[in-house]
Amino acid sequence: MPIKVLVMLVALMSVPGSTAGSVTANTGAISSLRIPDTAVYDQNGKRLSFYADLIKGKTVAINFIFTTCTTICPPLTAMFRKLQQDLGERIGLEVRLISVSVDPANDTPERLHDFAAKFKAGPGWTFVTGNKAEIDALLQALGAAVGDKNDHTPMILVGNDVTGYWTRAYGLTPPATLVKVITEAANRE
Amino acid sequence: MSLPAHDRCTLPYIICLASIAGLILPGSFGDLVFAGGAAQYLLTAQEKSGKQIYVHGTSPGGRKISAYLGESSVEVPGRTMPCANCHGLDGRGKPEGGVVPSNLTWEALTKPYGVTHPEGRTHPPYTDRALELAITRGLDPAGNKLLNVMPHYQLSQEDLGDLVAYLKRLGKDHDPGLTENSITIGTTIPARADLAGIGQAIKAVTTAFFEEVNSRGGIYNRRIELKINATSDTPITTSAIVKRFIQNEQVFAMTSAFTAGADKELAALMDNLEVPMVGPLTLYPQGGYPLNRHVFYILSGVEGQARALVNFACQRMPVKRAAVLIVYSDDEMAKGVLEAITDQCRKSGCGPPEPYGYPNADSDVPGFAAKLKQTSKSVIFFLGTSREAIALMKEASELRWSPTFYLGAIAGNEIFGAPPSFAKKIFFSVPSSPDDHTRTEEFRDLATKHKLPAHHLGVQRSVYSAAKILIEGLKRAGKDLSREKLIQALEGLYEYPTGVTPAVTYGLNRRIGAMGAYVVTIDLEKKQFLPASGWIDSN
Repeated sequence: MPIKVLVMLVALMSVPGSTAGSVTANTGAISSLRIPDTAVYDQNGKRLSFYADLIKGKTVAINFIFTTCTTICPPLTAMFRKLQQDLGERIGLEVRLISVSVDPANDTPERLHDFAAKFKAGPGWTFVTGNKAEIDALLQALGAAVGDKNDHTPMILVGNDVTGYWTRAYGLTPPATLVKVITEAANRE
Repeated sequence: MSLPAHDRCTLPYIICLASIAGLILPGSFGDLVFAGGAAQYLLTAQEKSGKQIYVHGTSPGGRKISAYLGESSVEVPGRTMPCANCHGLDGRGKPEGGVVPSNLTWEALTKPYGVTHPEGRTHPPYTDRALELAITRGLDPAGNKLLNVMPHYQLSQEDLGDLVAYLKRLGKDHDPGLTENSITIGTTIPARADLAGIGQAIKAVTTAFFEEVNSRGGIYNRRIELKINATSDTPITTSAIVKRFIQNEQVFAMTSAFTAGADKELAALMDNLEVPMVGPLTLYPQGGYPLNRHVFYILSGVEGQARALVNFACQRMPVKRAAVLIVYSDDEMAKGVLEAITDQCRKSGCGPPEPYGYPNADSDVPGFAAKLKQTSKSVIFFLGTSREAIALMKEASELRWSPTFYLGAIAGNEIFGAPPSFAKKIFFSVPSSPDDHTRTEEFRDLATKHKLPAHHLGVQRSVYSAAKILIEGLKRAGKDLSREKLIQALEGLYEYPTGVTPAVTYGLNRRIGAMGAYVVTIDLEKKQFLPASGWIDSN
């Protein structure tokens, strides 16, 4: 029972205006974030270095999903899909979307590929999985590690590698607001 | 079909006649009247349509269903966010990431004193109209906004009516073949006269196994009812017959069906009907990607065995890049194996292999042997008959060339006719060995007690392990059973010992229980098969 109550409290705190429908992004700047250059696989089975290939020199938005998660991940991913549409030509060139699996043991590149296809993920949006121990360490570094994957936080990490500015946003922040957060990160000195 | 012992009547004569009639009479009349209250579970046509919308987010009439998310009206197809995703097949909700979806069972929605949610939202009980507003506008009966993760759906009035009709049954409906006191399991036996022995083996072992389960009280007080049908002449007609069988007999799940010859069609059928099938009898399991969630194979087929053989061969090769030859007969079936060997050679670092087609005419075999010798390769994977392999070995022997032969197809006794220069140079793989028979006494006791036939012991072991795995899955799925829960329970099996096969493991991405093989070699002098390896994983 106490665990359930805690989950609900967390839910209440992290869902901005769940009943009132407020649109604040509820972001919070992060003072320092070291991104490891973890060896990962993308949804096409291609081997990538997380930092060098996906983060370096870019502005990114990272969310955390797994393919058998059916309650929170489809909305999170649908939001990224809309973000992809709203960002238009900026995607891939200036801004990159990354979805990291919090269940690498089960999420093979094939599963991620199907998941990505379901939400019509386009170029510039990379789904990431890999060796469980390494992905766990990556999640730890990104502040998204959880004991139980079902309790993973609906959080989006937005950052600009060039300036080192990083911030977090609630995963279901309306895409229009997120575009502002991303633009701010991209333009920040 | 003779009546199992436990069905002999101890009940008053009339009831007894009725239950026998229920067993003998085919069709729905018998089921409805005698199958222990099955009718209360049956959904109306409208509720069935509603269930499809609830579970899959698609309209039975092919009409558009869209989901809109949040304030920003992110539009996605309904099938990416069906109700069951969050609220669960039972309607009780699947909490994730801090989101606690509401309980959608009709009792919960219509509590006379209304509902107070954890976040403090309160509202009076739902009505049909109120539910429609919740689905299409995201408002509760008090006019409060629902949680922002709950999409608004746009769907036709007809689909909406169907969905609301189903919501009233949600959590109380059961999958077909399931009642308070029975679970209907089906199997399929081969119709061909020359395979009658296999059919007898399937029938005898399955009947005996389930009789034992029933004599111990069944599964959570549900008896296992076995229904049997037979294959037809072509894959398409077999598939049609099995489909009719599953629908008419209300089969909950299938066990040890004889699918050989119609593997693709029957696997697709199970996926389509969403019926779990355990341990189909086949050499060609359809376990690849994209995964068919509904079919659970026990042993590696020809392809998995060939992969294990490649792992074994590559490990023995002194120089890893000493490439390999594949010789194949022009056979549709060889194609999959050819690809599996090529892929596994790449993974094991001893490829890429060079494929050669076996000559059509016997007179061309000497020239073919000479051509192969010129490649100066010393390892051949042979995908053809034993007769063809021996013919090639004889020609190679004439040329004083004796490469190692790995036989991809199952070797018969005729392989003992190989030339002596190939002693210790012939290998093949088997998916199970006597070493796996760790609990044969259970199987033997069953055989003795139920007078199982003395033939087709391999088939019997396979049928026995399928029944055992299925029953284990049913036990783990619990009293509140559904096909989906059975699938999830089976996916949880890890190194499960059937006692007569290698241990079985399934998972989200795995549908072949024992992925690998043992390698066997041949003693040409003593005409014996000898073990050449322990278990080799081909995962």
